[in-house]
Amino acid sequence: MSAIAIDAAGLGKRYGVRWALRDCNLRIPSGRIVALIGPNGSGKTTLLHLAAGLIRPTEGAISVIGGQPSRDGGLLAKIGLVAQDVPLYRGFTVADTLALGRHLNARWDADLASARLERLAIPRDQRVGALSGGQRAQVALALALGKRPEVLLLDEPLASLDPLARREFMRTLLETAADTGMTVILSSHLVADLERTCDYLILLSASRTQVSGDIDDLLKTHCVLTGTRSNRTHIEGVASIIEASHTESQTTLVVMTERPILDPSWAVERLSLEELVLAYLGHPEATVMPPPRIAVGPRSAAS
Amino acid sequence: MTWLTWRQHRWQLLAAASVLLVIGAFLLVTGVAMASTFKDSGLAACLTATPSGCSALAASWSSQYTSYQFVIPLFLLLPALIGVFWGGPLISRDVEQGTHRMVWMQSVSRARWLTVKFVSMAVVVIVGSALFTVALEWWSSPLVAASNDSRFNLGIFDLLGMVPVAYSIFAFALGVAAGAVIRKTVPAMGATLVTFAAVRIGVEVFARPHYEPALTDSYSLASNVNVTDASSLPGTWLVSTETLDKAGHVVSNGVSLEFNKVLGDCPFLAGPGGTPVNDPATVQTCIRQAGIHVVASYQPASRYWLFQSIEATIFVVLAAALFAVTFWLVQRRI
Repeated sequence: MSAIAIDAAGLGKRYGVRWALRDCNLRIPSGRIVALIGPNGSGKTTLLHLAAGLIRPTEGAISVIGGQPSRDGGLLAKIGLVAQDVPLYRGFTVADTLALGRHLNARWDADLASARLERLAIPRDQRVGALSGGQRAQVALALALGKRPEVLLLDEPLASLDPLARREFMRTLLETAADTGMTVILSSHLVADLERTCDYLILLSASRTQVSGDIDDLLKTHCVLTGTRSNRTHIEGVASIIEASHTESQTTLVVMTERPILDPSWAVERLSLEELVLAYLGHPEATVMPPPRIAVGPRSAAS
Repeated sequence: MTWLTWRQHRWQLLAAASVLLVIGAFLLVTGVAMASTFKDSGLAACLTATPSGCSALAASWSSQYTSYQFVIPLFLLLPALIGVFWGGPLISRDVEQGTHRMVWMQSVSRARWLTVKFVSMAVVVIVGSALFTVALEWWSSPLVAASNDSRFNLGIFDLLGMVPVAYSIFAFALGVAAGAVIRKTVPAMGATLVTFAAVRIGVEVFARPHYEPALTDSYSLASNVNVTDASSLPGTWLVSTETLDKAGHVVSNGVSLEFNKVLGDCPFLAGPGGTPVNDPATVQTCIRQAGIHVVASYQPASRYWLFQSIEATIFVVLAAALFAVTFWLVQRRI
């Protein structure tokens, strides 16, 4: 398995005159659970469809486990997608849906697909259209997992689920991810959905990648500084100020640090992922991108 | 993929099979009855013995089946129905409901997905419409024989021979392509119906008469000349007739005289006050003096299968082109 699951460089997709995604640069290591966060219309679905090979890039390139998804047909067996609104044939029964997976995939893990549904007590002879939203999402997940993908893409899978179904869905997803070592990318416009389960963050805003990185690293290198009101822009240890807000007597800064802040005039606090995301979304000019590429493979050497 | 095609389309296939069975039963019951009265009335024997002397018997026999004149045109709609109900939804339903993003993410390429679906349904379309055409050929043979109509006639040429199969496969490919372009089921079905009708009528009206240059034949309009020209042989398709004078000026479209146009040739036809002289002998004099003759352009009966195969080829080639467009759209544009 390749060490980099998804590698995008200058990736863009245009529909007519509108760019749905532009200037997208990503390097997602394998085996991560990735949160793809962004407001509605920020290009999350476009990015997932590009990664799945459903559409072709207008500019730039994306490679998924070493191949180009829209050209390399063999990659289909290695990429799973649960598209938005969980599309399934409504007239098919659950058993038909699993049979579809078995017939259309040379590699098909029937146990992985159906054992999970049995445990969830989803009746096999029920028509998909008659299932609850949570059950339908589980069937779609089972269909995507059955082919044992190396990369699993899920487009807003939790959107229509109630809190209990969300927890159940995430639990089954994470168990399988842990068992198989696959890379999972989940998109959502809500950070809270994904905060506890993901270890990698991609933040898209206005069709561009704004933040991309390991969540622990991001949380380690970002903090809130509170101190007496000042307009100082240089603080020892701060790499950049993302957001500044002032009251009459106080200044609060969300900053990215390069070294620990030792200046005693500032009180330093950790950020939650949600606060970090909101700070960046409020300031689209601020970005955190992956570190410069290190020439390890032929592809990197060429670019 | 064949499993999926069957699972997805089995109700369509069963519905079509039951429609065909109902029509088949209708053709069988009425066809057997028609064949027996055709024989019992003596018309069959008469047509074999003296083909030209049975018109009275044929008319009385045919009169009991005039209601079929309303049934037969319905058969012209069958290819359109295939295009609308089988072709139209084939791709558009998936795209409309988003399920293409599920089915295209299985390990089967889109090219294979489309090819298997299209080809398996197309085979059913071809076999079904061929069977239906054979049944119709048998059923309609007494009617065609009794009517003395050419097999080139509208409603006969279009329903028999090999063209119905070509129309059906074209309609199916058209529906599939419309679905790939429009991506919404109901508009794709509507566009299929309109386009199919336009292409069928366009080919019928503008292309079919010219598959081969028409033969021409001319004969005098004079009443004492016996008309036994090639254009009036049984089975001939009379494409057009014109009436001309000696100099080649058209005096009428069709077999007749237009008073205003023959006045130059025969001024004596104008009576007092400019009204036409309505005397047969004078008209015959004019016809002889001015050399008025009829020029008929026609397609001989022997060209029937040639025309059938040219028209069938046109529609099969169109169907193949539409499939190629669909293939490209599915790979690159959806």
